[in-house]
Amino acid sequence: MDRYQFLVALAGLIFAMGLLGVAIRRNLLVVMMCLEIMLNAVVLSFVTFAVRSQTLSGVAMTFFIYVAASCEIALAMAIVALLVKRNGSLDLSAHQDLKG
Amino acid sequence: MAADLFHALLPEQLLLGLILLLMLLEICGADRRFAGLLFTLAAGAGCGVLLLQLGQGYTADVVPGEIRVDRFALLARLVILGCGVILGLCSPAASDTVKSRLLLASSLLGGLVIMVSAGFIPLFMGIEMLSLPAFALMVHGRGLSPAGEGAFKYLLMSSVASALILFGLSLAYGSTGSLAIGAFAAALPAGGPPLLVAGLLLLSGFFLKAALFPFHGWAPDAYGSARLPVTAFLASVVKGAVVLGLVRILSAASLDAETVAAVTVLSVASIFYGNVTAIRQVAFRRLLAYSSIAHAGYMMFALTDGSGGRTEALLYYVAVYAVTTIVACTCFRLLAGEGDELALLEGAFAARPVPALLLGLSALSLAGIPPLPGFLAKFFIFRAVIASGHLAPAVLAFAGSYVGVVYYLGIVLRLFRPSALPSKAKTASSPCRSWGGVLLGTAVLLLFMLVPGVFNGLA
Repeated sequence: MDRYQFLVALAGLIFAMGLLGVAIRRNLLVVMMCLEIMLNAVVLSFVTFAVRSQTLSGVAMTFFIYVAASCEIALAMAIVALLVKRNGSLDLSAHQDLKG
Repeated sequence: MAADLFHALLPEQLLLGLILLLMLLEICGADRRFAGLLFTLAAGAGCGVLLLQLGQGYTADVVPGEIRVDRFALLARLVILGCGVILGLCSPAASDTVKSRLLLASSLLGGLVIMVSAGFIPLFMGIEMLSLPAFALMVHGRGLSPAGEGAFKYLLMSSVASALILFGLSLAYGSTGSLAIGAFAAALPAGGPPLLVAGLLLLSGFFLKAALFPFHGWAPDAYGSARLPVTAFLASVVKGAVVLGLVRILSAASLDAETVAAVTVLSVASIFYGNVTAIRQVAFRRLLAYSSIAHAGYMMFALTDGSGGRTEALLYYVAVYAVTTIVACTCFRLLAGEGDELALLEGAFAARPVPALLLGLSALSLAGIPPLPGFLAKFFIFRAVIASGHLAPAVLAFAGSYVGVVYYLGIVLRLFRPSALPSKAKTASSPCRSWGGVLLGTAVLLLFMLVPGVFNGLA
């Protein structure tokens, strides 16, 4: 296994870990962190492929991913603040006014 | 080059100018009616430019490998921007602040960027620009209502979808060495494990964003907790842009047999699940959510077609579905005000015949009753799918679509049933601006009904 394969496998593993976290953790902040972990795994994978193929578009993509991720987290934190103000809890299962 | 950049992307430039101007107005604290007027003018001018360019058969490779304006880009942008104009006319000036117009314009801009992208970087940015303002729009002006919860669920699911799409893109980038959409679509039929995984991740991300059956969890909550105009926006522009974005990626590329089988199963399941669950709903916005899950099923069903007719069919379907949804939502709002229960509709025809009639017709069109445009849209999709040899799933999906008639007819029956409640003065204030949107929407639907080949006629 060369180092590129190792890095891509690592990225896949981290991505799966983040996805698992989003699925099973109930704390709003931890869920958002898991989301960021997923995006970081994606960035790792993009950079690995960019280095392997010696092209720049993968590197450019990572900048855009970070921009989008920070916008997302800023909005998410605002909404989390609204939710906490309303129910006084960071627990996702405390926010069950909607039937799903 | 610079002139090309300006001319080819004129609708985007107009929206960008509008956003800047609205920001300025917000800072100065200007009148909100003025903002509504500006919004309609800018979006309408954008539509005019697109129609003009369609007439000329305009194409341009604006930024090679990243942004390309072609016929599909022009038509899809016309659909998105047209929905924007109708939405802008539909939302009464009194309830819409400058900020919500600003968010609406940013989201529309994202939708337009998706349609002109020829590379995955602008496509991804477009998707983010489309959905981020939508979250803000959901919680804007709602205080500590359940809207926050719906918006959070939507944000979470949408971000997971973005991450899935991105991981798929990175794998595609790894095997093709390029982030151009063309390279991906060309390499897709050749297959290979990384590309197969990339395709599946990409599809599941888009399915999550379009709320297809096993990925639909967020839709009823998000649609049900937002204000009705925002729900209309989510169901029309956001969903339409996501579906057309997927079409932009796949264009005419045919999927391999396993993917086609998976897409068929998911979309038929989605049609049945959405239609069956919608029957039990008593609230209009949740009903709309389940109906939109079923409609996502029809739209994704078109992807199983390999004969190349799906692009036209989907453009027509998305346009008809989006405009019908907007008209239905606005008419419901005219009849029931801020209420959400379907029971509010009882006896509405006797009280206010015109909006009731339009709501009834849009419901029947969504159900797919001939000769309404909703029927033609379904017909084109099923024709394309059957032409490429998937007869059995098409028959199944067709059967599923008639389960949906039950609840759409339920709406119509309620409209004509004599009201049980002594008419508690249906005082939904009817600002005349809403009527502009409803009339424009109805005119567009009429055009779609009378000239089904309207998109061919434009080019």
